[in-house]
Amino acid sequence: MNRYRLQARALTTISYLALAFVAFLVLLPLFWMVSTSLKTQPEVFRAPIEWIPPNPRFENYPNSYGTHDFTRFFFNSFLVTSVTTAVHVVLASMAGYGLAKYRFVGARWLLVAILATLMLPIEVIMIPLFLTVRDFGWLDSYQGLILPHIGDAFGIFLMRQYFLSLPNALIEAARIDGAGHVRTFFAIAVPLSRPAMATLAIFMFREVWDEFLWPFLVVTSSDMQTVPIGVRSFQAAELANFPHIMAISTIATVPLVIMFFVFQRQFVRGIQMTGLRE
Amino acid sequence: MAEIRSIERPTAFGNLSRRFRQTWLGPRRPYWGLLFVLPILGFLIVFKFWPMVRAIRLSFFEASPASRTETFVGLENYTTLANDPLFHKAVGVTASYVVGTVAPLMVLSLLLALLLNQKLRGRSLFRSLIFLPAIVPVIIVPILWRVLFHPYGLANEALILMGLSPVDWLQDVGAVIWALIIPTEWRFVPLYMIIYLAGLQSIPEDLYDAAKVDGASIIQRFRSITLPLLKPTILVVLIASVTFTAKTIVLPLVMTTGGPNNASTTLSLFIYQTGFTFFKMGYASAASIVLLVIVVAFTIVNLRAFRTDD
Repeated sequence: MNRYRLQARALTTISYLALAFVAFLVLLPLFWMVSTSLKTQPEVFRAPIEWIPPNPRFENYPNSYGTHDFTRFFFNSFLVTSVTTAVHVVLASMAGYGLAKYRFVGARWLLVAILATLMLPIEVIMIPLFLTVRDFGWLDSYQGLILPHIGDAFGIFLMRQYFLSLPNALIEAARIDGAGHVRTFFAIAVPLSRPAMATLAIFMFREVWDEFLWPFLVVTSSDMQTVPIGVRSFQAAELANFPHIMAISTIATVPLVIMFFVFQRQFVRGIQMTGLRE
Repeated sequence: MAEIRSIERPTAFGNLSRRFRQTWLGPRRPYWGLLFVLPILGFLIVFKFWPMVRAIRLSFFEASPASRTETFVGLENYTTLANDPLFHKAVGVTASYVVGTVAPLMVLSLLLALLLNQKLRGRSLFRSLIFLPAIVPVIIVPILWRVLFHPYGLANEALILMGLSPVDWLQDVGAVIWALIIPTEWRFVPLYMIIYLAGLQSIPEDLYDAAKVDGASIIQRFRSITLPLLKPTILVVLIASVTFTAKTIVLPLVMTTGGPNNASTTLSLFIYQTGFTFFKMGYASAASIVLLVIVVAFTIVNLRAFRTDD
């Protein structure tokens, strides 16, 4: 018994040391990013590194934000992301409900086909997807940014799993009381699945907000740029102005960090449920 | 059954049960299930299935987006791919990137998860802090690390501190693959750590208590309890990380644009450049199909291998 207690104490100490070391290592680049964003250009690579700049230049933030229309980019990102998320959550919940609570011919086959699209990310179908959206005349438009993201199999799967665990009795009771199929869904199933829908919404919001490749292909004018695309063009324009680039990077990172700390639980649950795509 | 039904029928309860059977979600109006699926299915068809069909078709054509002409060339795109040194290089780069990333990723994230799975005070704080890189926007990773890999940047400062000589990360043909691998570890170890944690937390505590009573050491407990019960999670992490790394594009696109001398041109970047820089849409589609086949084959092989193991 004593041996175990000694071992446990040693293990705890080692664990703390290891965790502190990893946390330090992992956060260092981020700290460097913020620290550099407050420097002048000649100070960036000065050795030894000044982790806390003696004369922090906070004006780097308004200066870099002002050179490109980042307010517009944030607006675009917000519009595209919230519309995509809202429509996706509603449609994915409906589909998940239909697949979980009804047994129709070919339901299994349909589920397999839907899940198979998980293997068709933008990277694989970027050429034909781009041509399809171009044929619709949707390049450089909100439709072009929003609609391709709505059909996403992960949300359907997540909601199906959730509805499978929802007792049939509640739904049957509503049906016996004379509620139609649609009304049963919206009045009974939706309120009961709020936690799952919240998880999906937060997960999806982050995914779409963060999406780079697709808007990079579709957007041609600076008016339609989302935040990631705006950051990219900023970096391409400023090239060696590292303090300004780091300031913009910090501005782009902070909203997601805040979102993480506010919705930490849903975030973590969402990631753990996906097995993850990224 | 028949007997019961004959008793039920005349009673009020029998009526209810019949009405119930008619209006129940089940067999009577099953097509409603399909109606619920239809709206999103429309999106999937237009933006997933149709582009997929189109990619397969396009891979047999020579297609230029500017003139909007398509000429049937049969298997020519595939035979050209088979002899294209650039394509071979892209496959090679992708392969070394996948292997070089996934192997340490699986081990490091499991180790971290094991550390955080102990009952330590302040572990949720550690978890949140270590998780932060996974929150950083996808586009910030290459932009930040491009500066960190600057000849006088933080990466070289660290090397010097360890007594090693600095490396020209982004210009050296041999080093650039590490410039892809290291940021990927940075961003994804925390992410997979979270997935492992979920797996670890689903292992019942009493198994460990029982093993302790029997005098099993930490390593024995890990090998005979943790590892076998974690197998499904390990499979998920393996498949997810391989499929994710195999299609990586944003990191090389923004950080190195595939250079130097294509030493960081991954398959997806090759597809992007072929299609959108050189406007060879048919040829790029053929390469997409190859990428898809690799990813699907890997996924199926792994699912099979793990299933027969059990």
